[in-house]
Amino acid sequence: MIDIPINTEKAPSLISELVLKLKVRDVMNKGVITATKNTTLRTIQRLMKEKRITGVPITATEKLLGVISMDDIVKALDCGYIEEKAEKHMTTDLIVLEDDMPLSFAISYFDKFKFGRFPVVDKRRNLVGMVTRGDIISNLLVEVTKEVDELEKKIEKPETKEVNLKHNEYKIAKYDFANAGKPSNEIKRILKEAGLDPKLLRRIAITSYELEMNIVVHTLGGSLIVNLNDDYIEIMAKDPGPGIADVEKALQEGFSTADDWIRSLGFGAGMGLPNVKRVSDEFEIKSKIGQGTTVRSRIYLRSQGGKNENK
Amino acid sequence: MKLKKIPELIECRFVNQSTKYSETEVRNILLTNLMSQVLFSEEEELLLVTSLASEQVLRTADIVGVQAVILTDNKPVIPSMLELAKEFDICLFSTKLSGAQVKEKLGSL
Repeated sequence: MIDIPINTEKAPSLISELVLKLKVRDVMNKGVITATKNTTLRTIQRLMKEKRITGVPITATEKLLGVISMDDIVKALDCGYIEEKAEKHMTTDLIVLEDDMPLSFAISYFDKFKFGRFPVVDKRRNLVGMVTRGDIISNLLVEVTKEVDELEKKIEKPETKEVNLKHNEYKIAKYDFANAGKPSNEIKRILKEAGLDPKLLRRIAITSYELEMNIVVHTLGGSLIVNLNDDYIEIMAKDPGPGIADVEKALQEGFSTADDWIRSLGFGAGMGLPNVKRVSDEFEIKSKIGQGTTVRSRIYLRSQGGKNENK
Repeated sequence: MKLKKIPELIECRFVNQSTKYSETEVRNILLTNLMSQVLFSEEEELLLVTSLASEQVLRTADIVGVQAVILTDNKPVIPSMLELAKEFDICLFSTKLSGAQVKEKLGSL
């Protein structure tokens, strides 16, 4: 016989609360197979075999009169009175549970009496169900799972400040290599989750990342401004200085003013701005020494992987 | 080449195993410490081989969709690299071999 693996005193608070909150009616088996006092033990034995049960309550108009157990049937077969009626051999000194008792009470009954099942009666003493150890365990598991699901829903999710790319501005600090790239990785993640074409996504991510690194490496700090609508995404990098002395040269591949330190970090190869121009559908740069630089890149969402030839 | 062939071809250790590791293919190998070069690359299904141990390696890899990164020359993997490899679901290997040795052993893929 299986034990109910619950110590009602030392159980975790969730289990303790559940066994107090749940009633016997919540876990009992309601479709009880019964017999009358005139049913023969042979019929009850067949019923047990057919329904795979180990005890049959004997009732009269719903009132519980007694129980015939598997032991009673074995004894009847041994002693040769299997054809006799249940009335004469049923156990009438019954211990029952009431349907509105807390489950903790039922568990203590199973521990105390070591029975495999208890009939359940209502306030009028009518039989309303049967409860076994298995019923208690399986119902508790279901309830625990429900409670855990509810608790998980209540657990505060780490704050994820969802960004609205329709218009968003990221502040970028000079030489902040610890955070450099975070906005671009975020932009890519959001657009990827939105189901954007991977090639288009790559072009947008490259634009954003290159412009971001440009601010980190070459400026006093600035902003990366993203505007997204149904037709295109526009990424703008704005900084207050120092400005580019020769914009035309800055757009040549390999031209760079970055020092060795920047190069040792993997950047400053003079490929950033040409790369942004390469992947953009529209590209514009305005710069003036002492006044700063504005780079604007537009990528059309219908242009898919390749550049939009119509633009 | 399937990504899972790499540990058979070069002596390396896993720093992070991506979720689709066993089915991921790499067709192009890029050996560089210049992230600008990675960003300029037009190739897909990329394997990046680098001795640059920095967060920007993983951030750049995510931007261009690099499938796996091999950190060469026994360079120590900084903890934030592992975190980013997990966040971006990028396979990250570490090896004591040089970039040139890795490229030679992996061939042209």
